[in-house]
Amino acid sequence: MRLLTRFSKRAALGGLTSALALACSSGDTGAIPTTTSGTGAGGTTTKTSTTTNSGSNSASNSGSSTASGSGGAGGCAGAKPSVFPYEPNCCGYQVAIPAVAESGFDDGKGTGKPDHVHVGLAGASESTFAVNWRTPNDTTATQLLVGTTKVAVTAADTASATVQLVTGHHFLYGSTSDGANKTRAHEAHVCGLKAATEYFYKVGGAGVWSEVYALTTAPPIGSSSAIRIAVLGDSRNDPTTFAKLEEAIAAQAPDLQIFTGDAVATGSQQTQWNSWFEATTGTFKVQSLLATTPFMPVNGNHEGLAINYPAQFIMPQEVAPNEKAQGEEYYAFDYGNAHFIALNDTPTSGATGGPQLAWLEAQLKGVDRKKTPWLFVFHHQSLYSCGGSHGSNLALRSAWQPLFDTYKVDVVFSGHDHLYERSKPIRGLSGTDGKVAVSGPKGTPVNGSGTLYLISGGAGAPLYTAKTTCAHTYVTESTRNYTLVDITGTTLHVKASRLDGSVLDEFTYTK
Amino acid sequence: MGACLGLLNGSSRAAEPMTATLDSAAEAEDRAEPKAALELYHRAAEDYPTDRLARRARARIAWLEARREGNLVPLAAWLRMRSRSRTALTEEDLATFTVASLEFPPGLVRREAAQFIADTWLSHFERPREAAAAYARWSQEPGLDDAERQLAESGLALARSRLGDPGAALERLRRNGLGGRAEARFLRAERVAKWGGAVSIAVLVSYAAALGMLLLRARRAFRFPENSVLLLGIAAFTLGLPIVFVALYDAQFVRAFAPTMGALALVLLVNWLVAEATEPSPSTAARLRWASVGAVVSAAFLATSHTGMLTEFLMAAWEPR
Repeated sequence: MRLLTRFSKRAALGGLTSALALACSSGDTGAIPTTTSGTGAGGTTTKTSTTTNSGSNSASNSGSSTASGSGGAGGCAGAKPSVFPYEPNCCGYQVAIPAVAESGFDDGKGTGKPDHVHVGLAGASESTFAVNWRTPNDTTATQLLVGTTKVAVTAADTASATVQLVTGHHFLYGSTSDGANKTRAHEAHVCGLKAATEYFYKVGGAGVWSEVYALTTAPPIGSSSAIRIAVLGDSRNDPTTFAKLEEAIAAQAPDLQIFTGDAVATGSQQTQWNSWFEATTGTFKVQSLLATTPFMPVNGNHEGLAINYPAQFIMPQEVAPNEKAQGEEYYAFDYGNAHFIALNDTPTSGATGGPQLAWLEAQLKGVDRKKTPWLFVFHHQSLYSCGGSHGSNLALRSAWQPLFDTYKVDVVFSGHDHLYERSKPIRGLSGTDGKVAVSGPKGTPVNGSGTLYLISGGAGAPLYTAKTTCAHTYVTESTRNYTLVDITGTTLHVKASRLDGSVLDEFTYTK
Repeated sequence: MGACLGLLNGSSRAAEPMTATLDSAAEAEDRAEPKAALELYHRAAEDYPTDRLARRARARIAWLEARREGNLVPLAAWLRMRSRSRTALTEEDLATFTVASLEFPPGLVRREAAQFIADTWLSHFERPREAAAAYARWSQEPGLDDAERQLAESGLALARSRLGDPGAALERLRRNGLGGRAEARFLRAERVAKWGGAVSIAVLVSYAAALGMLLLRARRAFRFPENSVLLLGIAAFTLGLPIVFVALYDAQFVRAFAPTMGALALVLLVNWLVAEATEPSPSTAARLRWASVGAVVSAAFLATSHTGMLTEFLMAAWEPR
């Protein structure tokens, strides 16, 4: 499924309160207003429909032209969609699916139990979330019940005064490596939510529901409210280690996880994805974190944009003619006062030019640093890596770093080399060598003197040897690791931890 | 309307005091004062139960409460140790902490301390003997979850392998049903690399010796080829393929494949020159071709092994399906 129009990445995120007030004052019986305002400037992830803002990166959100897939009480009215792409539940953005032989929308049929439940962001982080899950292939019921009280959601079997029913789409996918074994993926998008609010949801269909999960929406875009992001990558080969790291991350209750690629060794083998989603320590299930905290991945060389990757993850879609992965290979979103840009660097030849590079520059140029003073990029192959087996990707460095320098990106997260490494602040190039900028305590930038390049790539794949012989390296270690990024207003605090819980790296700086 | 009011209540209180309390609690954790941290997290969760950050307070409370054994005294010691920089950590410090941790009551703190001690002996101090003892102790701790058991056994296997007994380490992993773990596949790959490397070197030496003997029996003087098309083709092949790999992937591929391509080019060239010089019989030419194939495969093996690609490839190939 391909769209012929590039969606805008800019969103209108203001007016949520008024939308809520409107829904309430109009006597709407639905628990959750499902219409977002089309005014205001701010976030970046809600996309316009195909009929508006064609080809632009403007900040407006001109509403929808396609039908809603919602059912239940209140919210956006409209007929059920019948074709892809469609605008789910008046979300203000379009959803496309991979090229598959069989797809459809909720019909309430089937009794298969949902599993692999996990959340992602396809729209504005403070007012939307989306859920993806799996069922046996004969189940095409794609429903989600959501509300603000756990008891009500637990008891509900359909929409009520306090619980909203949201319907979604499903499709059957499988790569050539999977042979005849196909997987039924389901996806439902919930929009019109209130910022910084805890919601409870379950997925499935009448009589067959998942357990109830809690998810908290992001604070209003641009607010100085504290946010916490977990960063990790390269879990392939070892779901058990991945589960142990996720257990440690869950104990820190991050708002968001970003993943630097290579979740599995062979992205086209669904059996490996199954092991990944079902990873457990024996007492902790990864599922419990994935279902409650948005997980935003990038394509690694081991995913290779196999259909299994976009089929199973929810990301803002940037759809352009002939793009792979229905526009999910690169994307951007706001969370709190931070702007995140996810890039695809595999193969490198496609990443150093073409539509992504132009999109990247437009994205960077369009970031409102007054609203989102923190600017992060994440992708897979490192621009600065001293050790490991791969080393620095000089082609990416030449193509991307000038943009990162111009727009003063704060931190670039990557993986690929299976270790932890943090660069000194880098600003400018001398040939292909990065120029080390002025740094403060613990190698932090001084007044935005440079960009930090941080590799968090040790979530399960075989570890690589760390080297300290490069001028750009501040700290590195060959170890299993994850990183927590805490942002409170203009202060950034980063703490990287080893699998055994000990602190590997820690620094703080204020803009 | 009731639902709408419920929504509006979600974040009706200012978040700043909540943030300040959470910051204070985190600082107390950093200072290894779990009692103070617990109090502050409880205060945050109780004063601001509907704040979006309340879940963070609740998560930390759950984490700290789960490590309450010994009235939080062992946890304080563990928090102190785990926040220390490894560069400032001495073997004496670790040995002292090891002795102290043996007095911890059974529970999560004791198990996590055991993991830290074992990992630090192995990866930081590179002392496999001490590491093996520490992993063995960790693996015997009561209440290990499945992941801890796997990690303890895998660490023990790596430590024993570094002590020079990879076979026994592998056998133990297999006996414990962990033959599919990354460490087991890594040890097997290392064994293949070790033996394969020895065979490859032997093949290359044999090939060189065979060429030397052929040249000694050369029927006519050694000469460079007049036709440069083949040479140009070989050069383009040797140089071009790494460029393609660089464009598609990264330097690791070049480091692995450039020597292989170079070996292939060299063998083709040498074979041709030798054939020109020696005019071998059909049976000798056939043997030379097979020896050449062996030489190229051996060079490829050594190159991929040296760059770590062989290990990665084998580990992926042996991934449990």
